Amino acid sequence: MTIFSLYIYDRHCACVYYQDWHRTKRPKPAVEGGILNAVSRAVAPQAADTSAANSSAFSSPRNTLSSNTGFVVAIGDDSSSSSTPAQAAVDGPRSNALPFDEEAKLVYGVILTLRNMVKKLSGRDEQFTSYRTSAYKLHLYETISGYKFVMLSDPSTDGLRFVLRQIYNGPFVDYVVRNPLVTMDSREQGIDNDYFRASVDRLIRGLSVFA
Amino acid sequence: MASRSSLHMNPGSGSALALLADPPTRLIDGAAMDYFLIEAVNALRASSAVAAARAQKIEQEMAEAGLVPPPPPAKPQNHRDSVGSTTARSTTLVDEEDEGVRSRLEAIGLHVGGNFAERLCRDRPTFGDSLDAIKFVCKELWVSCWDKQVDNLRTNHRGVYVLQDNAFKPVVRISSWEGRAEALKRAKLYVALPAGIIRGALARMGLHGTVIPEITSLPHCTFQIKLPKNS
Repeated sequence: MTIFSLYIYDRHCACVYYQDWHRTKRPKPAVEGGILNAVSRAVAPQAADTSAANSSAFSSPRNTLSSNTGFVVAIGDDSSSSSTPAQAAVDGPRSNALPFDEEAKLVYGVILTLRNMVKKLSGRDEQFTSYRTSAYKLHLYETISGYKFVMLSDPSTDGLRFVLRQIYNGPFVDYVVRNPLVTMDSREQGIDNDYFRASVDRLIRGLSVFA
Repeated sequence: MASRSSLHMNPGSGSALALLADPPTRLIDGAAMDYFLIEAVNALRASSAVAAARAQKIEQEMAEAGLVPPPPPAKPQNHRDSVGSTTARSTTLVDEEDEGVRSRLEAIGLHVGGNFAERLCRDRPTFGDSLDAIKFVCKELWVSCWDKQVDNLRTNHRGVYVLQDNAFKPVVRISSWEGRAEALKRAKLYVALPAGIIRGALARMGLHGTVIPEITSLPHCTFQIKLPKNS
């Protein structure tokens, strides 16, 4: 029972935050201009000199799961995703994982489509909350202000909407909404900052479902 | 007549008197205050930029008309280390803008602090000396504004007091994507209003001095108060 990753999208359909705990394949850095510039240090686009590579205080390649049970990032079927020669130099053998910005858009597309489908099928009062596959379970919590909290966990977890609501009421309101340095609702900046990341980390690691 | 007028008093007047004698403390939502301060800083930044641009335009017009000598050229460009000079110039520009915002925030704080001190000092006897006034600031003012007391007070008994707060409320949530150093730099602006509040409160009580806020590491904040010697 464990938690894989967390994405936060704002009402402009852009990914504004990303954090992960367990992942089989490391997220591939986004292309330049693909994602907003304050989403996550681990997936920020690389500069021309890839000295920073993927190392940051926040990305920990802890991989306690065997590769056939962990959540595998969406696999692109061709290698057109490896864009710059610098990134290829970092990755070594060509991986066919999607760069992070495409992965984020994919996740967003999935939840948007499912949400609309549920609303069309059952009426405006029903809400799409989660879906489960053999490898992972995706939980969605959407706020009235348009922020979507998406969490991926292993398939046997019960319901993490409560946890997502806790993240919203706790760290999000404290360190994003009440933080003078974070512009909410901006189209060119994400919401990543030290305190928010640390408090979300603390909250998730303190959960009983976290391995 | 007195008894008849007492018969005419409505039954609620007893509680009205009690309310007048001991009014309940009025509280304000902390989150609303935070949001207001955020917007205030942004609005003041825009307004001070407009004011600075206007002053510069007037200066330029007067210089062109020959009424004043032309303004001195901005930092002489040293072509040998152009990188250094451009960064120096950009930091002075940013500091000047920030200085405009900071002085406006402090002016607002002066008025707020003075009026707030009026209400807080309602039934209090006058202070014996400036140390008592500072202790009042540390305890009453801090509690009313920021929900806790000052953590440490030091003085050299010659008019200089240092107030230390280990988790100062206006800056306890400041955190930036670019890291601690950037957050520290930007936090300096957000302590200007509290510094003004302290200075205004002291001024209203008759102690005219200066208050200098300092942040060495978030959320730890110190205020250095210098009061004139004769009090």
